[in-house]
Amino acid sequence: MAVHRFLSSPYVSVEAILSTLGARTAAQCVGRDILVVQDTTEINFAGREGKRRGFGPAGNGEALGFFIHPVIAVDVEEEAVIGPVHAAIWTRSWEQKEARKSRPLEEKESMRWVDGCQASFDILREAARLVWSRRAWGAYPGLAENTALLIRFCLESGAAGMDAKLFLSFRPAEEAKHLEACFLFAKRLGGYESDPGEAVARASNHPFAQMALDPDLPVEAVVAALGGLDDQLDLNLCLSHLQRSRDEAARQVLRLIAGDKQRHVLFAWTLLADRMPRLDATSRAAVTEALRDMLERVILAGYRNTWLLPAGAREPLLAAEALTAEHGLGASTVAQEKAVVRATLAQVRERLATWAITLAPVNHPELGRA
Amino acid sequence: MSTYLSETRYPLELAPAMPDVWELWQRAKTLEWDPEMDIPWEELHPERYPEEQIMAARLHWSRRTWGEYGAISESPALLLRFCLENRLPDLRFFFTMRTQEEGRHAEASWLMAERLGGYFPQPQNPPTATAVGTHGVRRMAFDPDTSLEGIFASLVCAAEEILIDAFKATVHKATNPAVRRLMELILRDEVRHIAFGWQCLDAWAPTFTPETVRNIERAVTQMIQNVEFNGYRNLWLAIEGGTATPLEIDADRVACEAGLGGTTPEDEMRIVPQFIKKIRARMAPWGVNLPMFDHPKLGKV
Repeated sequence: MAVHRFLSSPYVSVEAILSTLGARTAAQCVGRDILVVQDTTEINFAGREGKRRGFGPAGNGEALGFFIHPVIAVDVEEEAVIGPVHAAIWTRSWEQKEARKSRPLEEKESMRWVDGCQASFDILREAARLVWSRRAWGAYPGLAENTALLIRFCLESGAAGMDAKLFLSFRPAEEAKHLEACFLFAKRLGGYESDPGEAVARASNHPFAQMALDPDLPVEAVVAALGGLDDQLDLNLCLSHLQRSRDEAARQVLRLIAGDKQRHVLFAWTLLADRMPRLDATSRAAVTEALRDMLERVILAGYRNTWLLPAGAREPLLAAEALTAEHGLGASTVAQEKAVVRATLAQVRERLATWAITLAPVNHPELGRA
Repeated sequence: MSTYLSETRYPLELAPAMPDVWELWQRAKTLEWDPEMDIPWEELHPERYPEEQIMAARLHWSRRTWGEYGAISESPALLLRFCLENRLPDLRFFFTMRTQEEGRHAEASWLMAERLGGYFPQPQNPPTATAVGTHGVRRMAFDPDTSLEGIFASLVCAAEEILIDAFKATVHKATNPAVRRLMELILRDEVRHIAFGWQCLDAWAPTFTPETVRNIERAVTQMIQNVEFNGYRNLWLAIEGGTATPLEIDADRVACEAGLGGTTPEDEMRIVPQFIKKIRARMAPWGVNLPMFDHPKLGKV
């Protein structure tokens, strides 16, 4: 009865069930050699028609029934069935159809074989589309964050610091180009997804612009947290994705983004190198606190890395990233990303040590002690 | 981070919603230029001009730098407002480029002053700074009680329009190749900025309330009276008895007559009344009724 109620719910559809199953199978396929098999099965209710409604003729043209054409993923090495990739389910009509040979392929039942193959590609495209949409969600805050930082420099430094202002006047346009590139990539993979869902939205929705304009926070603290730590991690992840990508379009987008980001990060470190030695103890404490806040509340909450999101909210995206990485479409595996996060923290600590600023070690269930 | 207000930015729509504005963003990306590389500096030859003309040109281009500098913060203030108010993606994308272009104009104007003999970091008579300051633009952009339409009409449309009109009317007088190229490049960007402003306001006009219309009238009137007539662009327009030195006031004319940029009082007598007439007619279909302005030199315009 519970299953009946579940299947009858207006919120449950065949398409949603199939796409969820497909995504889960795709996640299980990562790292394995897979054979995708497909065939048609007839479900025949001969002698059991009873009060059944809504069915068409089965294969013999008399009994009630319907057809299902599943596409199944099988592990080549273990010969284990991984799960369904896709399935077509249909009932035949009682009406006489015109001769089979005169119908176009799209109207023939045999089209299901083509659809089955297409479904395997669709799962990959769907995965990569989500990954590049997620990248756009992560790029967007850069627009407001750098704009706010530019305003802060204009308000605070008067006629001085023109170099920083001119540099920052370029950054929002560069961030906008990154955003557009990710959007276009997702669009060409089947469509940009504008809604990240609650968990990712929460992890991505940090008020960096307010932070940049906060008069109680020294501008050096903002630059250290956003430019020194977060931009550095973003750049390193971008380079990791680039190294692993085989698709030329993905490589070119990542290469161009990395080129810009390299300058953004250099700006942060150069500015800090100029200003940190002159900071008083209170401001230095604020820098340390801003870095800690950025690491613990933002980065370790999954702002850049899906595997750092809370369990239960990350699985579909994780599967998508794994599949995208596997096929060289512009992502890294979880293991590779973990290595990047660790290396970045070490790199940032080393830089900060020059000014006797300490970024305390963190313990995280996914990352361990870092 | 937890002490700040939470922002709502998702769902994050990025598909173009205003095709004309999207086109401006696309065009802006293909028309980027570099002040160091794209101006024929080798043809500037400041040594060929008398000292008085060079001094006037340095003053003119220094003041242009101060004006462009104001836009370096005005433009991002508006961009930030678009982001915080979740305005259409086209607006946000385009304005990132506008911010970049204003930075480039400031750098190019500064380079021009430098290569003419030296940039002046401030007016000769410091109180003149009030004439060339940003006139609370940033505050206006961040004031939630000031409608975006009013800011657009005054800053993005009217203030940019008079700049373009002055450039268009005088670019042919810039006989110095380096100066002329710089004016052409700035003009090319500003034409897109102004197109953006008018396209947005034309698109929003059907939704204007009487309050919006009053807001636009107030903002544009203030811009003309308190900014333009205060000498923001040309100190000759500042009301007599202002704080600028005679040298500063005369700089635009002298520079213009030397072919080094700027406008003459005769140019201004023609350009400003035509500009006011034009924007009055352009805004009338929205129900905006701009008053007549009295100016001691221009008369009733």
